Amino acid sequence: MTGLVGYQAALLLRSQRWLIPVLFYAAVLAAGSNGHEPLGDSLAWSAAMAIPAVAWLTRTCLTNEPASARAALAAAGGARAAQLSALVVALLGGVIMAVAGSAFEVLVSAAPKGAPGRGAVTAAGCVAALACAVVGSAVGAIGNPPLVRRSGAAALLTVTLVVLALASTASPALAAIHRAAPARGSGLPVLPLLAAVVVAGAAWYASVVAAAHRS
Amino acid sequence: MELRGVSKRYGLRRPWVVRHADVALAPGSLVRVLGVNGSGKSTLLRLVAGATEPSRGVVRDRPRTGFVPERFSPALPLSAEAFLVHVGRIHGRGGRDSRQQAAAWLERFGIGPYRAWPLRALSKGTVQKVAIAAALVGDPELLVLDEAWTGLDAVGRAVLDGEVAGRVAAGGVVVFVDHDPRRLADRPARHLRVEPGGVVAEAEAPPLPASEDPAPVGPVAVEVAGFGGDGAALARLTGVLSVSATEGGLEVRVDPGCSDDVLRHLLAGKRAHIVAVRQLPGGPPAGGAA
Repeated sequence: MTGLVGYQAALLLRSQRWLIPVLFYAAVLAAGSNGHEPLGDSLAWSAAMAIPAVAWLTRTCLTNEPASARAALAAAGGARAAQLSALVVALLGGVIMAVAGSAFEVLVSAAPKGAPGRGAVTAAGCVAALACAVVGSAVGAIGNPPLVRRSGAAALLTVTLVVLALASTASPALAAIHRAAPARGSGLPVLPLLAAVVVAGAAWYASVVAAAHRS
Repeated sequence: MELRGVSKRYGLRRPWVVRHADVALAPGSLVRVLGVNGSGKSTLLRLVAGATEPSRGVVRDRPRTGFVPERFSPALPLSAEAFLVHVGRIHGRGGRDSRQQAAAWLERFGIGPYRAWPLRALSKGTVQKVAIAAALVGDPELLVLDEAWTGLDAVGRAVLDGEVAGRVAAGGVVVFVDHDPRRLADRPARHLRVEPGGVVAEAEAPPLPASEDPAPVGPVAVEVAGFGGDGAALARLTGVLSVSATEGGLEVRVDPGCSDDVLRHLLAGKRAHIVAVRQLPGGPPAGGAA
């Protein structure tokens, strides 16, 4: 598995296709920052925007390997492990991106209003960012090959799932973001993070099984 | 290893490509998979190699596997060497060992000078050599080759043929598809045919096409009348095998490669009259000289 993860990481880094979702994320963070937002609000924004960015990064990892190379490596390392390694690399990259986004907000934002201090708000925001990265990974796993092969359908489904993740009351990402916002600040959003991990686990499982069976 | 009741389709609404395949692959066997285009040969190979999982049934005891898929695409942002090193690591080799193996295989295929080149920049045949090296770099006990000879030069074919022979002799299993029925035809092999509809059955070796050398041609017999004498002058011409007397004159047997020259000589002579020219049947000449 470490061999496959190293290979997928090399594919992602050397292809330079990671630049587009990372630049997208940097752009929305810059656009949402005017330097006067309270820290809790800016962390909520950077966490929320991690969902589409990580979904996009996941798409990059799931589409940058030719089928023939995948077949050769699946024979060497296992068809399921090959797909899993692509998802792992996308999530690792997404977590780095989301944590960097949170750090950026901590640097540029105004002090939080109200009772919870800067440390508590930062910690809650970072956990929310993790939860959102995990949900973004789930969205990317469901809305891309091998589960959705056509790029038009993939884009449509991804946008729909991102909107649902940010608007549906059932979404663990939204729950985590709400918890991180200072007005409702009530400790770390650990339960939403765990719920996000369960959702992503199911999405990864579907993607891994489909990769082993449909190709 | 064995396939037990293996069936495959690429989706619930897709047709079955392979049906109920029960195949046990004994150590030391060379297996050729036959079938018309689109019959499911590649899918059977992918199932054997573990590149895809069966929809039904199980594949048991698959050993360490190397797989050369058909039409290997070079659309990877890696150099030939980096790709092979990654494959070595995926097989569980250490970094240094993987680099040594990668370099050794590139040298064996005669493409060492291209090791730092991006895969995209390599010629088709060189990419194919990299794909084969990737299948071999893990020292597989099961080697699955889907038209792996396509685009290879003589060096590549020789290395691959040698690897196939060596691995079978060492107790490995080699399963292959190739459009050329003469490929590895000199080696004892088991044949499996994928019928249209996906049934996998044991088969006989396919008939080899006729050799590209022309069939052996016998001498040309020329009957000549009115030449006179015993034809001793004719016997001295290049390519004349024998001159014998017949009822009406002489029969001259000529090497087929020289028959035109002899005929020209006869036609140029005023007295000779050519009665008949016959092609005699071929086959090894009497006395066994080839």
